[in-house]
Amino acid sequence: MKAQRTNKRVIRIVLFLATQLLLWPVYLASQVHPPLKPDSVRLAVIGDMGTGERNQYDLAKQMIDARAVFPFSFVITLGDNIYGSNGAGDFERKFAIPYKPLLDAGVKFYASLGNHDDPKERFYAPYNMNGNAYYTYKKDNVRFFALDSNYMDAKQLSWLENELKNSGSDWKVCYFHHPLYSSGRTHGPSTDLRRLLEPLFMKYGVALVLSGHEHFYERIKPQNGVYYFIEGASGELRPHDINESNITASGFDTDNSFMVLEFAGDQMNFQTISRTGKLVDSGTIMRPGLQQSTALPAQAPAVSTSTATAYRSLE
Amino acid sequence: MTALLLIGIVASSIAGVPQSAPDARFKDFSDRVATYVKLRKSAESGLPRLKKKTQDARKLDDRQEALVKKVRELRKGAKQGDVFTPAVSEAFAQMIKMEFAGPDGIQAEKTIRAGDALKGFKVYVNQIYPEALPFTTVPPTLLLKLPPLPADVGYRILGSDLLLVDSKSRLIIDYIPNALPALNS
Repeated sequence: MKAQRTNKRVIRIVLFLATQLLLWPVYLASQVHPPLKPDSVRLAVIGDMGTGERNQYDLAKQMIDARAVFPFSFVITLGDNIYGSNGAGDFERKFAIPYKPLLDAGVKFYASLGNHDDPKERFYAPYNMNGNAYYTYKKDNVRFFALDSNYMDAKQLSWLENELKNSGSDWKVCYFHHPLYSSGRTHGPSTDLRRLLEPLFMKYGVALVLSGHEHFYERIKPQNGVYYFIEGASGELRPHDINESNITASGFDTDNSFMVLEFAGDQMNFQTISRTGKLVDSGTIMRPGLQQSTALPAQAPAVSTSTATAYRSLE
Repeated sequence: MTALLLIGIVASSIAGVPQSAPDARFKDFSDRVATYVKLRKSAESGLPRLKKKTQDARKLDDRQEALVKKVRELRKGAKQGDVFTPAVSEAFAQMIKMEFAGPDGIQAEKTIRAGDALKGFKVYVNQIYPEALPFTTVPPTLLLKLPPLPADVGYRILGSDLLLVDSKSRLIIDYIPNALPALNS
């Protein structure tokens, strides 16, 4: 009698778990809700992911599920693509296997290099770097600049200035490993790098800057008209490492995460999703330079965020 | 040599970036680096050509290994001071000291401290920079003051040593011991 009751209980638990599993995509769909405007530029953002460990794989699964709801066509990486040893097996275990469903579906990756990456990664075809440590490409009206913040020499700075100057794109997005602004306890901002890059970003109207290195997600309040995000927790994680400061607009440092971005005309929508599929931050950014022409009051924040989920557990 | 000079001229045009004029003390250094690049090219000429991209990461490993072997053969007996001669090392040390004592020094220190701590690694010439070790960012403001380098040769910081590293082979070409303050070791 007792054994029968136990069996029934086990069956009920199994059924419950199976139902949850089947409902998971629906649950995720309810969490990820970008505008999905026609002809928009859609991408995912990951950083500091190449551990080859369980968390990286879990997050990759979330990205694959999110793509069912939000069909992004490419992914940008913010460096530390491969941690530790860097042999052929590592490229498989820390990149090709976890993201295989995305690669098989034709999703392109555009990598930047972190301080843990080997320069030879430039030649790895799935990273689309074509042998270059820094490069630029365009998707509709958005121009992307992948930089090498490990080695910001005169040659790269000169190249960047020239490319920014000649870019006629509506949106200019720069991404690289070391953040110019950060509230991280462990690393903090790269102020030396900021001194060189920020004037260029301001002068040439860079709208958005994405970095990794810190193993958490942080959205920085706009600095001199530029929006900065840190997404360095797509495999690695440094729990409770955000030292909330007056530049922190939002943050999440209790689980891994990735971002999805959608550029549509003069708007950019962003959503940040955790390893468990929870939406931890979201909002819309207007292209800089257009804020005066929008209906927003002059003092209105240019980022509108979702409400309850827009902040990490800072308790 | 012409390429190095051109890079220096281009660099000096970057808006708002303090640039140093070409320094005669480093001519000998630049010549020695150019000689190394010639040697590497010669080593590469005997290897299968590397395309701009490959799907097969094993090809990257194989080529790197073959390049390391060949460069080591060609530089057998290379030792510390071959590229960073004592006179050049002194000039670098002075420049670095001035940089860290100057207005950008604090930022440069922060950049080095922001890297991951690197411990237990003894540097020697013709050694591969270990793949398990992350790179410490060379402070960009310092980098702009150091003599420019040709493609695929870069300065690296390991503890307090300034390294010259070939990014194609990861080989340490030469180094200056204790050229920097020990900030992240």
